[in-house]
Amino acid sequence: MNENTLIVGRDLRVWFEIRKTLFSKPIYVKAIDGVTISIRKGETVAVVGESGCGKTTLGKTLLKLYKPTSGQIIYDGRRIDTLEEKDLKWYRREAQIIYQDPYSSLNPFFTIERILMEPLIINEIGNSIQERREIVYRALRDVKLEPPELFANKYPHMLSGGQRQRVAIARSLITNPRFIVADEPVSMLDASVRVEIMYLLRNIQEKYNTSFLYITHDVSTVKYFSDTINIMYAGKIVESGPVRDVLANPLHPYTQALIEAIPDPDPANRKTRRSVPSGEPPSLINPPSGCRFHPRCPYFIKGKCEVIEPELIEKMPNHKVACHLY
Amino acid sequence: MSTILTVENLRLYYRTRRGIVKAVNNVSFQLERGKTLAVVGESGCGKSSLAYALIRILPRNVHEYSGVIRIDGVDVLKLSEEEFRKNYRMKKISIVPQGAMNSLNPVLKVGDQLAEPLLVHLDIDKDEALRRAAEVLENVRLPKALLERYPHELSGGMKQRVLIAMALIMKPEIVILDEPTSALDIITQANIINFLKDLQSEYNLSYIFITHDLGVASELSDYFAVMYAGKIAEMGPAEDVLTNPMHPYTEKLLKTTPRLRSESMLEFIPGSPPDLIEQIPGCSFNPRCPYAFEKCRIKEPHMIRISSQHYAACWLRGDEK
Amino acid sequence: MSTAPTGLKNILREVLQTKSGKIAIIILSVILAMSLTVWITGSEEVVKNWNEPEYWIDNPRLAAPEWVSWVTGSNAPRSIILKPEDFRKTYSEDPLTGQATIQLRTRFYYDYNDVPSEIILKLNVNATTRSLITLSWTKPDGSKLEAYRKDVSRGAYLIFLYTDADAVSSIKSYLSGINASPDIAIQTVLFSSEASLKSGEPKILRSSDVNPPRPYEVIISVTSRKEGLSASAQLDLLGKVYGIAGTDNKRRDIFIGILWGAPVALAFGLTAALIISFVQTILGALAAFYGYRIDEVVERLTDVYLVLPFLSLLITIQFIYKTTIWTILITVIALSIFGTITKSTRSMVLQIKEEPYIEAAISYGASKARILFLYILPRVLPYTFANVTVLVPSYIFLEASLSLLGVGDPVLPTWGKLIEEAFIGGATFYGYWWWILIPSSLIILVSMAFALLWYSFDKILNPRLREE
Repeated sequence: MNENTLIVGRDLRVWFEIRKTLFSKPIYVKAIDGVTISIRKGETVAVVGESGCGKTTLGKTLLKLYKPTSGQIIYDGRRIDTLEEKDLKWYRREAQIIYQDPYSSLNPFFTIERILMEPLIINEIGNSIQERREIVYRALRDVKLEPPELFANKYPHMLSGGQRQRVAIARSLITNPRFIVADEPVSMLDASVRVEIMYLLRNIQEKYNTSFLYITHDVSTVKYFSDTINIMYAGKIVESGPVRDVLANPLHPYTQALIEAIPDPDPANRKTRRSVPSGEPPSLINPPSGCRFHPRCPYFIKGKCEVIEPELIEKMPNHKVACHLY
Repeated sequence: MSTILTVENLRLYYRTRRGIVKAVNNVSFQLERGKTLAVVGESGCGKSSLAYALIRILPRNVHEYSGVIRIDGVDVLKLSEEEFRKNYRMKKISIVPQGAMNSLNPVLKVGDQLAEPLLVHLDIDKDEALRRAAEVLENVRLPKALLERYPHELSGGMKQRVLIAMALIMKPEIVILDEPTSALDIITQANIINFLKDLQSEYNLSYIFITHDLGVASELSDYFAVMYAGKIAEMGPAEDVLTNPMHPYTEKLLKTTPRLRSESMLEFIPGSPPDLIEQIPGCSFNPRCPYAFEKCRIKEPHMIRISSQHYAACWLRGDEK
Repeated sequence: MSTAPTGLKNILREVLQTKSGKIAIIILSVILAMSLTVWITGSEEVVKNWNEPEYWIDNPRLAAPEWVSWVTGSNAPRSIILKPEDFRKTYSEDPLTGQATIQLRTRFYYDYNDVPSEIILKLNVNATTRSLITLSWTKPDGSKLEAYRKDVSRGAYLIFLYTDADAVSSIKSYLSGINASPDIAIQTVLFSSEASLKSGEPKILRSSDVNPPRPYEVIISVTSRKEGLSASAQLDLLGKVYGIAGTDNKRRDIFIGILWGAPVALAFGLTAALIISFVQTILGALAAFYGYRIDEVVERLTDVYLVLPFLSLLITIQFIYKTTIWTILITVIALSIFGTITKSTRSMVLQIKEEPYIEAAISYGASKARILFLYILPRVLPYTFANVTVLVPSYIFLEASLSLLGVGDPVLPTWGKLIEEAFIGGATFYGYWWWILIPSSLIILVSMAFALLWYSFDKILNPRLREE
C-alpha cells in the first residue's frame, strides 16, 4: 500500500440479511463476496457489470453507507470500516456520491441553492450566508450552470435532466471531497447530454485531482472516463486492469461476452447474430459453486470450474483475471 | 417486396394545461413486409407517442388525431374504435410496450394473462386459449411450465419474452417494439435481439423498433427514421443513414454515441431537445444546429430526396422533394 | 413533470381556484365571523346568561323563526313590547277622599293575522296602603272591556294576563255581559271583534280592518292614597315568531345559542383535529424513520388504540366524571394519540426514506434528526393538513353526540346541547322543528364546508387527479 493510494477495500464482504418470517433462519444476499479494490489519488476506477452484480453496493460500502460484513476499508491510511457514524463526520466531507437518477436524487422541495447549501451548513463550511452563497455559486459555475444566480432560485422540477445531474455533481463537489462515487451518472440521460456530462466529470477530475469510482453497466463509456476498469460478476471481481488493455484484450470469458454483446451503430449488425452466453446473472442468495460464471461459460471445464473458485491472478502487468483458463 | 404499412401526415396532438403538445407532427413513412424500421430519437421527441398513435391507444386529452394509416391497403384511421379493436389491434398490429418489466399484472398467473386477449377477441373457451398460450410460449423459447407461474418468479429477460409472446399471440403481422431492451442487462439484451431476429425470419414479421439507442437499433433495423421534436428529420436505409447521415441532427447523434470499437472523439450537442408545446419557427433543430443559416430560421424544411429511399428534412440538401 | 405546489400560500391560492374551495371558504368565513363576534363582545356573559331565565323573559316561548311568516305568508304576530316609556302618565287627585289615581295609557296598532301567544303585564306600584289596579282594553271597533281588577299592596308584579285568576274572572263577566260563550281564550277575546265574539265565531280584529285604522288602547289605573304613590308598567304582547332562529322552551333566542355555540364547535373541532393529526403524524414518522424497536412499539400501540371502543369509553368517563368541555378535549386527545394517521404517515415516510436524496443527505453528513424534520416532514405535512380538514367535522360531531346523550359539558350552550334540550323539550313530539333543525343544519353545514375544503385539497395534492 503506497502513499499514492487514496482508498483501499480489502476482501470486502457485504451480506444483507433477510428473514422470510419472524422465526425462520436468516438468509443472506451476498451482494459483495470477497472484493479487493484500490483507488489512487486522482485516478478514476471503473466498476462494470450487469445489474445485481454488486457494483452499486461496492460503491456505497466504500462510502460507509452500508456496513461491511467483513473486510477492511482503509482511507488515506486510516481504517474506517470499524468506525461508527458518529466518528465518521470528517469522512462525510471527504467522500461524496452522485446518483443515477437526476429526478429523485434532489430534494424536490428545496431550491437549488438550499440543496447545495445543506452540505456546507452541516459540515460547518463558511462562516456566513454570504460566504456560503459564494461557494454555491462557484460550484454552479464549475458545472456550467450559469449565471448561478438564475439557477440558484429554481426548484429541481424546473430543470432538465441534464441540468439536474449537473446540480447533483455540484453538490458532490461542494465540500471539496477527494473521493467521489459516481453511480451510473449518465445512464438516465439523453444520448446527446451524456457526453457533455462525462466530459464535465473529466474536467472536474483534472481540475481538482479528485478520485472517482465510476460505476456503470455500459462498457463503451468507460474508455472516455476511466483509467482502470474492474469487471464484476455475482459479487466478485473477475477481471481488472488498465482500460485500454482490458478492452483490447479481454481475458475473462464474461468480459469477452460483455464486449461482444455491445452493438456499435453499424448497419452490418443486422446480418449477424451475436454469440453471447444465454441465461442470466445468478441469484446472490445461492450463487453457483466454484466459479460463479460456470453455468454460462462457453469454456467450462468440468470437474474444475464448478468445484474450485478461481483466484484473481496477475496475468499481465497490472492486468488481473480470475479464471481457470489461466 | 410489398408495403404492409403506409403512414401519411400522421398527427397526434394533446391538450394540456400549458398548451397543445404536438407529439406527432406530420409524420410519414412506409414499412415493407418482413422488414424492420427503427424510429430513433431522444426522450421527448415523440417516438412513443408515434407508437401509440399507430396502435390507437390514446389518452383522454387528445386535441387532434388525423392523417392516414394504411395497413394492407385499408386506412384504419377512418375505422371506428370498435372495428379497429376487433379486427386490427392485436390481430394485425400489436405492441410490446415500454417499461415491460412492470406491464405484467402481479396477481395473475402468466398463463391467464397470455390467454386474456384470446378470450376477449375470439370465441373460444379457456382451455383452448391456454393451449394457444402454451404454443406461443414455445415460440418464444420458454417452457410451458411458465403458464402456472406468477410474474415475480420470472427474471427480466423472461418477462420480456412473455410480453413479446403476448404481442404475438394473435399472430399479427406488424409488431411495434417500444424500447424492448432498455431495462435489460447487456447480455440479456443481446439474447433478446437474437431472438427477435429469429422470430422475424420465422414468421415474416414486420417490426417498428422504437429506441434511443442507435447501436441496438442497428442490430435489427433495415430502415431508420430519426425523429426530432415530433417530426422525422431523416429517413432511409440503415446503410445510408448510419454511414452517410444527411441531417445535422443525425450526424451529431451518431457522434454522441460511445463506440467500443473505434477511437473517435465524442461530441455533444449543446442545448437540449425542445419541449413539444413551444413551436420553434423554421426548422426545429436550428437553435442547436452548427450549420444553420437564414432560411432555417424562417421556413420549416420538407423532406428532401437524397436518393431513391433516403430523405432528409434539411435545407442544406437542396430544394427538391 | 408537475409536483404538488409548495408552501401554504400557493396551496391556499389553488384551493380558492376550485369551486368547492370557494364555497368552503365562504361558509367557514361566516362561521369564523360568528365566533369572533362572540369573542369580542365578551364570552363570560354567555354561560351565565344562558342559564338565567330572567335574561330571556321578554321573549316568547317556543316561537318559530320570523322568516317563517314571510315564507308561508301567514303574517304571524311578532312581539310588541310596550315599555314604561311608551305609557303616558296622568295623575289625578280626589281632594275629598285623599285618593289619587295614576293612569298609564298606551296604544298600539295590531295588524297580524293571529293573536299573541302570551300577554304579560309587569307592574311596579309604590304606595303607602293597598291600591286598586284596573286594566281597561279598547279595541279598534270601539268595544271596551275591563280585563283586570285587583287589589294589591305595594311591589313589583308579573301578571300573566291570559291565565291570571283575576283576569280570567274579569274577562268571563265581560263575555257573559255580551252573551258570548265563556270558553274563549283570553288572547282571542282581547283581539277579536265584539261582533264576532257574540256570534260564536271569533274573528281576529286588526287595526286595519277599521276605516280609518285605529289602534288598540290600554289604560291601566292605579288608585290609592296619594302619599308616595307612583307606578310604572310594561306590557308584553309576545308574538308567535321571533328572531332568526326562534326560541326554545326557556324563551332563549336560539340564534344567540347558535352564535355562542359557534366558537365552541370550531375551537373544539379544530384543536382536537390539529393536535391529534400532528401528534399522530410525528409518531408515525418517527416509527418509520428510526425503525426497529421504536417502530415495533408504535405499531403495537397503534393497534391497541385502534381497537379501543373510543366512544363508549368517552361516554363512560363523562358519565362518571361529568367534566367540562376542555377536559373532554383532553380526554379525546389522550384517547387518540395513536391512530390511522400514524399508520398512513408511517407508510409514506417508509417510501420517502428510500429515495436517493435521503441517502445522499447521509452521505454529506446530515444527522438523522435533521433529515426527519427538514427533509421528510415538510413533504408529509400537506397530507397531514388535509387530514386535519377531514377530522374537524368528526370532532364537532363527537362533541354534539356527547351533548345529545346528555354527557357533554353541563353548562355551555353548544350546538349539541341545543339539540339535546330540544329532544328533552319534546321538540320532535310537538313539532318545534326549528329548535332541532337549525342547530343540526349548522353542524351539517360546517361539516360540509370542511368536506369541500378537503375535496379541493385532494384535487391539488393527489397527482393522479390533477388533469394536465
